[in-house]
Amino acid sequence: MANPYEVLGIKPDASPGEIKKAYFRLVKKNTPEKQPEKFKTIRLAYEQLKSHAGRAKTDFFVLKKPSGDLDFLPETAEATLDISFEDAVAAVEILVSDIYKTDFIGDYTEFANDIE
Amino acid sequence: MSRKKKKFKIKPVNKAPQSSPAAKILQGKNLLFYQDGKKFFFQGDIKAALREWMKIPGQARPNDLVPFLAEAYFRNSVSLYHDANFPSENILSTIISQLSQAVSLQPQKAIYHFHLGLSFQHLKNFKKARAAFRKAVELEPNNERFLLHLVLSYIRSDLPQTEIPFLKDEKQSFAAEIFSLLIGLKKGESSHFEKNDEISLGNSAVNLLYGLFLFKNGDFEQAKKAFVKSLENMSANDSTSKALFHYFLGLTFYKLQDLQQGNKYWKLAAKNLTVAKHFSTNLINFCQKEGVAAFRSGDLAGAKKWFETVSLLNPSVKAAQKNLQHVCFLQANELAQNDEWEEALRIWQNACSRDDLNVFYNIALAYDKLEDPSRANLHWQKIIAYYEEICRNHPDDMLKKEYLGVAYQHLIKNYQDIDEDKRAIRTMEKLCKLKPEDTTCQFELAETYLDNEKWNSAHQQFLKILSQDPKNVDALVNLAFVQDMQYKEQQAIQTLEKALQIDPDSVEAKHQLAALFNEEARECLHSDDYRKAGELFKKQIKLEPSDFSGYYGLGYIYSEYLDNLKMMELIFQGYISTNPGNAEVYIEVADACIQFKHPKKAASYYQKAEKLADGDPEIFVNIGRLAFNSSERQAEKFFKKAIELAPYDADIYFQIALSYSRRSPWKARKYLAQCLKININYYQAHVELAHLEAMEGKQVAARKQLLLAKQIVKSAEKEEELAAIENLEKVIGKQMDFLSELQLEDE
Repeated sequence: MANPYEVLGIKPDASPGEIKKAYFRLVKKNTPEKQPEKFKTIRLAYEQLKSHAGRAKTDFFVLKKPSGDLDFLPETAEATLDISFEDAVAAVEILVSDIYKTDFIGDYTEFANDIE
Repeated sequence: MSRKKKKFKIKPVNKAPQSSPAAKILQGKNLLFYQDGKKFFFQGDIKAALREWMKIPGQARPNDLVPFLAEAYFRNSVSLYHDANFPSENILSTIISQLSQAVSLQPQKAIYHFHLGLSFQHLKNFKKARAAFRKAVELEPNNERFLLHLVLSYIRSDLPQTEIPFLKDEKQSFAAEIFSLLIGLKKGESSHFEKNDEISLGNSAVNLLYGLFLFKNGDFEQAKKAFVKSLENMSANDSTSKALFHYFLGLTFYKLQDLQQGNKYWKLAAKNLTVAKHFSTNLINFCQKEGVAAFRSGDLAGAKKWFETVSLLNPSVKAAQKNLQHVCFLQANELAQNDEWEEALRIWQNACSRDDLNVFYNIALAYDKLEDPSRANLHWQKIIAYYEEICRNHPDDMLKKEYLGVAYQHLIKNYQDIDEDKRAIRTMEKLCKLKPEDTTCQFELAETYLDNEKWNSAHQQFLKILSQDPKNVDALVNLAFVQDMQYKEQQAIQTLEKALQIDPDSVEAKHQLAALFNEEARECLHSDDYRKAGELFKKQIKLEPSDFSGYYGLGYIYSEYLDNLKMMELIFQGYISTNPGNAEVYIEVADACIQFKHPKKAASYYQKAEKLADGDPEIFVNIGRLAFNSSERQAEKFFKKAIELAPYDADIYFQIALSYSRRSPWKARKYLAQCLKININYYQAHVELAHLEAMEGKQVAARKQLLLAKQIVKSAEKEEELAAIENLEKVIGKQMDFLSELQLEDE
């Protein structure tokens, strides 16, 4: 069954007035003569949401979306777009580690397998 | 100056002796621990090896175990480092303690000191790192890898080159050259770089420093060329180095105002966590922006990756964590919409914020879908607590009130499903308090009290409903039932009479009132008050004229107390007139006559019944079964009549067998055999036979019959019957277990 909020194009926290407005707006566009199926869906969605009791029953068993939105403002400092001396040392360090990195297993000592 | 990348390989320095003396020193369990430990060690299960060796007491450990133990500590620390993406402080502390153990056991092993230095460096304890690198260099002065790290640690601490042990002239030593270039970079002295004409083709570290020098001097075009050139010369395996150059290239492009290229290279750089971690200040912002962009384009998986990277780079960036949870939430929603509730539930539980009520909501829904009402209710309760709080603070918010009501109803249903009656009742009480005007839920609560035999509460609740709706017949009938249970029969009668005033056709009210009259009448007969009893039976008959019990009582009074057989017969005639064409009615009357010791009259009624049933074998079976109550011989006569009329009807034999099964099992068997002779696929006969066998304790025979029944049902594809037979099999099995237990007890 279609999500009635999506059918009416409204948010889940829409007021009763907003629900009514959305319904009448859609019904004007999709009259039962022109779009009988669509009209039926719109009508059904409105029936589900028009009373508090019906709306509560509809809302209750619908998957919820996360509260709020993405956080667009990272809490980190703004980009520096520069290179400090410490950055240069770190860069050389990374490079040196990378150059000599065979695999750490290369650092293991070899032992003869002499289990008695 | 051209340099080639040097790969350093540690050669084995400490080979264990080929023939260990351990076997001679160790005995018993310790020898086993030693050998098992070695076995694990060579299998690569270092933890298990350490576990085994630790079981050997310190003083008993042989000398040849020391290098193994030290190596095991070392390998353990390396795998700890590898397993953690970015080791936390705690993991680093564990790594350091493991390496310290290795160093204390084998202080001459430079590689152990070196790794200890690396670990201290990660912890930003540069002083200890420097000391460990220094020790490694002292033990292996020609190891350039150790020397380079030592040089970098000196540079960090701003210590002079002269103090670095074994650092040769820069012309001979790569480490010394790096030192010189870094000092040049720090001081901004071009002389350090000018001599390197062919620098762009040379060693990447030198080249990197040259690029950085150019960048620092604002020559971004040249810096870009240096980085690009170096990147081109890199082999495909150098992923970290590549990422490093990608980072600097990206940075240079940003400086050159080419945002597209800058983004391209940073995207590549951010994929390498080692590089990203070092330059996180810039890259975190970048990843965050990329994540948001991916999210906006509907790419949830891409957004998740970016936000995950930010969280890895800096777990304290709350924005990234929040965004990651947001994306995970939506991903789980998509899974749920595709009916993958288990996976969705796992994500909501593990990757989403538990402070978000909506997460709780979806988790509750998932548990509902997965049919786990107990866990679902734990979550619904939290949601209910939230709405309760809102309704308390905003009593006029009708929509929230409705939400709370639906939540209560759902909770009640789940509690009822798991037989948590007390909780269901408590929640119903809350619901009734929330919606006092809602008679449906008020009525449900009253009925639940009634079902749970809480008579006083049920009484109060029905009165409450009646105070709102005094003409509610259902409430009156139920109230009367409760009153009856509370031994308030007179009140119950009054209540039912009231119900009948409102709805004179209420079948339930009539039936209950008739039953109450019958009960009271019989009480009167106990005290020989037959007059009052008679009045009550008459009232009963008036309410339920088709029920024989009233006529029976009245007939009994005329027969036993008043010795007026004519009146008795008249009363019975009255009953017969309610259903004159029914043979069974005559049998009921005949039955009464036998009980009142009037066999001749009974015989005449039997004859009338027989006459009415004439030609219909089924009726003969039915009246035969009824006649069993008073006369077995009469019953048999009817059965024989039925068989005469339908000698090849398996149903008739089966029905007769059923009549005999409790009274005379051998006769029942006889008729069942007849039934099966006519129709071998009459599975009900097999089931009944199984019953009879089970009653006699013959489990094998019972199972055999059930098996036959099952085969018939299976071939006929009757699923419901099959389930019923399987169920019966279980019941019979249990019965048998019970019987054998009893037998054992007797023995």
